[in-house]
Amino acid sequence: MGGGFGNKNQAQDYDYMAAVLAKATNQPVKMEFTREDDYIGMHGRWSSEQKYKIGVKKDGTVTAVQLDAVTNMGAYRKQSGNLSGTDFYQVPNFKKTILPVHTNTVVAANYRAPAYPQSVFGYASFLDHIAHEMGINPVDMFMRNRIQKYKAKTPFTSNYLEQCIQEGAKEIAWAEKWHKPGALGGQKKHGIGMALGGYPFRPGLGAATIRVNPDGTAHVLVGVTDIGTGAKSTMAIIAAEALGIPLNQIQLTNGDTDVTPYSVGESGSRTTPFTGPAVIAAAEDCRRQIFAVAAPQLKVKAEELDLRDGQVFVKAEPTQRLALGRAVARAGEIIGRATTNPSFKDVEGKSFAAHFAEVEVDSITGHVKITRYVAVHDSGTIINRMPAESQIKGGVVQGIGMAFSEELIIDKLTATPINPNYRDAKVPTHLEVPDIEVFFIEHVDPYGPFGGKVVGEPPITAAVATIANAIFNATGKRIKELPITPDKILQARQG
Amino acid sequence: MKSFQNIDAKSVQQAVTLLQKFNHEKKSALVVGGGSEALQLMKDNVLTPDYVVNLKTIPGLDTIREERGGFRIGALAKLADIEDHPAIREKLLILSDAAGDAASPQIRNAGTIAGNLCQRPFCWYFRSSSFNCLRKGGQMCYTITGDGRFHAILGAGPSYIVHPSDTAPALVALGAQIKIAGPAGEKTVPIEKFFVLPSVDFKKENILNPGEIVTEIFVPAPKPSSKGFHHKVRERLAWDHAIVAVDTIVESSSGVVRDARVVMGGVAPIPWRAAKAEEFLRGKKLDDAVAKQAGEIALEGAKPLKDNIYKVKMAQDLVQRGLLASV
Repeated sequence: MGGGFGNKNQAQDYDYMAAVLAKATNQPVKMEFTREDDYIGMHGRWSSEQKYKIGVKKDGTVTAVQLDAVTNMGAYRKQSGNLSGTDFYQVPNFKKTILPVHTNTVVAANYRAPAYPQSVFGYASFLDHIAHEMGINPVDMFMRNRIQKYKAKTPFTSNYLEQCIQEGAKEIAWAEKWHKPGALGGQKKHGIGMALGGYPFRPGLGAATIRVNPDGTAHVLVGVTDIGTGAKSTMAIIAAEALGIPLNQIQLTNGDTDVTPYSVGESGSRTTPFTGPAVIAAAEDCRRQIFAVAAPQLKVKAEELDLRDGQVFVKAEPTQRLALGRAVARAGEIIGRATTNPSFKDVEGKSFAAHFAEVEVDSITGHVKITRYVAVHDSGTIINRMPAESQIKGGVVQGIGMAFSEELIIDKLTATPINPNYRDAKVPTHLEVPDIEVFFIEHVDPYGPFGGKVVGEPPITAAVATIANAIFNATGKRIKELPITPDKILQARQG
Repeated sequence: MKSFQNIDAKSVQQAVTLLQKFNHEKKSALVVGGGSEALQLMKDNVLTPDYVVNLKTIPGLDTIREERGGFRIGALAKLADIEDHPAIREKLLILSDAAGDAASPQIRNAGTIAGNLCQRPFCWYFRSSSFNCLRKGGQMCYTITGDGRFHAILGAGPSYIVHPSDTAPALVALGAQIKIAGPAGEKTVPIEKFFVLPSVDFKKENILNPGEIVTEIFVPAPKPSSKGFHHKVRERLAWDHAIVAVDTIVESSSGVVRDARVVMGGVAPIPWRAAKAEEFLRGKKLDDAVAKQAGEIALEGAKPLKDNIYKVKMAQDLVQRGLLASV
């Protein structure tokens, strides 16, 4: 399933059907979906069959990767069908052949980090397995083969993946907890695993308008919708910081392009990197106008002024100041606006993550319990901490669902989905989800708004492979197909 | 959902009379307790009744009474109330555990014990309006050609459903009796005689005929020298049906079995009592090897489908685990 992101970041056929019907009848048309319609008529992530051939030096360094894959795009093509999970790993020689195919199943398209978790599952499972066969500790294998300063020859804006691995390994006590796969006896077998993930960070088109009122408050207008990521409060925080007024003096209107400027849409982890810079630029536009109005009142030149905590003051003589509202009152109101469209030149942007999990596998029932989960992320500066942590947790929860139970099962004889409902396509409950421990390796990325990179999509990318590798460590049996259900664990055990 | 007429019954007698009348008039009627199951069946268009007879308006059907020798549980007692009942927790722990394993907290707060016992199958072919399966009057059980990963390995054919009730295996293990009211008056039957194999009738899961309703369950308290075990294996720890469930009650002294009950859920179209394993256990000292052998005997004759072979060993192992935990 996709939620707010995947299903709604592209026009769907029935959107057009509704429009055509409305035009034909001159009446409003409402689209209504049953849960079954939603499962069958929308889309899921593309499934894939991945075949890897990996060249490795004796010390575990990967020298070459050949990936041949088939991706199932369903009845018609909506998206690329790409597999990009190798992005977080150093692959000097890479040959990738992907064949997106049509099948008479449900259409595949965007779902949180579209081309990643299924692909990280494939590659990180394989790396983990090579480590096992070569007698290398997985943490050393992943550290050695993590992507470093450059993607090919292009440098990253920042890359703290090394620190993510170090911090996560320390937090989960990898050195003490790791053991040889399948080495522990007992009915409930302990396992520990890890994987690397992340998501591209790139700038793009954003627009914002800020109105500063004569009472010293500001009204920020942005087109972004908040699909649960905290985008609304993030934009307010950026505006408060950039303007120099307290957060509680900010009012924000978002998502209604009748009154706000345009937004490209909230997908691709691009809300903050696209619209954030526009909010900063609109705030700067306001500040220029505020200083121009305040300069004669404070009897200095505009460039000698600063604005902080809602006070316009002379930089050299901070006691010489004027409340923002009084300054603005002279102008009636001040409106700043900006449309920004920065792009990267000769740099590559990415957020990074290293995930670690401990599991307990019941050898009789095949039940897997995640006992600990540590997610360490490099997303640059964390602008809005609570929703950022929640994004990481939410991504991991979706990863848990993908790892354990979520699957649209198709009856092969009739090509009919047999579990298009919440009862049988099992989204995890609180009982499947441990307390997810989130850590950020914070730093200022030189290209992100206030040093921030992206948060939304990275967490799901590593989660599935992390859990799968932990299950391998517990059982010594590699499950190569998702979801990893009790029947597969028991069948692997029974050979 | 098809429109229906709801009738709030005032008494068991009135409910029985109404059901009999609708049956006579060839109208379809559905008896509703908590309603969670009925609503789902109607929303999925599996059942399209003309009438819904609501039993919740009958006073006194939801009481739980402890009396000499056991518990009288009203048909409308909620699963949550059975789960949390202090005396049931103390004396019928496997029943309270089984009730607590059913569905989700929300459904347990609405769902009743009789409703839990009278659930229709949760086979995905049966529940899907895309498949007119054998049990719904069609020609075939789609499990045979389709995906039967959760389906029956024992006692199946021509339909391969598993009985969905979590409380049924526990009640069979406890030797409960079920009271049924009908046009001919009241009758009480051992609960294991309540369920019907598809080889007898593949269109129903229990012996209830039109006009009959469950009114009460009597559960005898096990002997103080006995110990029970309940475990339900599932993919998801809430709101999921059993892949395999095992309920055991073993009466023993110094590890030697006097009497044992071994019942499995999730493996057969009815709660599956492993009578041969019970027989085998009598008089034996219950150690690891005996428990293992009992598990193997319990699964003798298992005929898994291509997708559920894993259930055989899972059930064997779980019976073994359950027996060892029951002494």
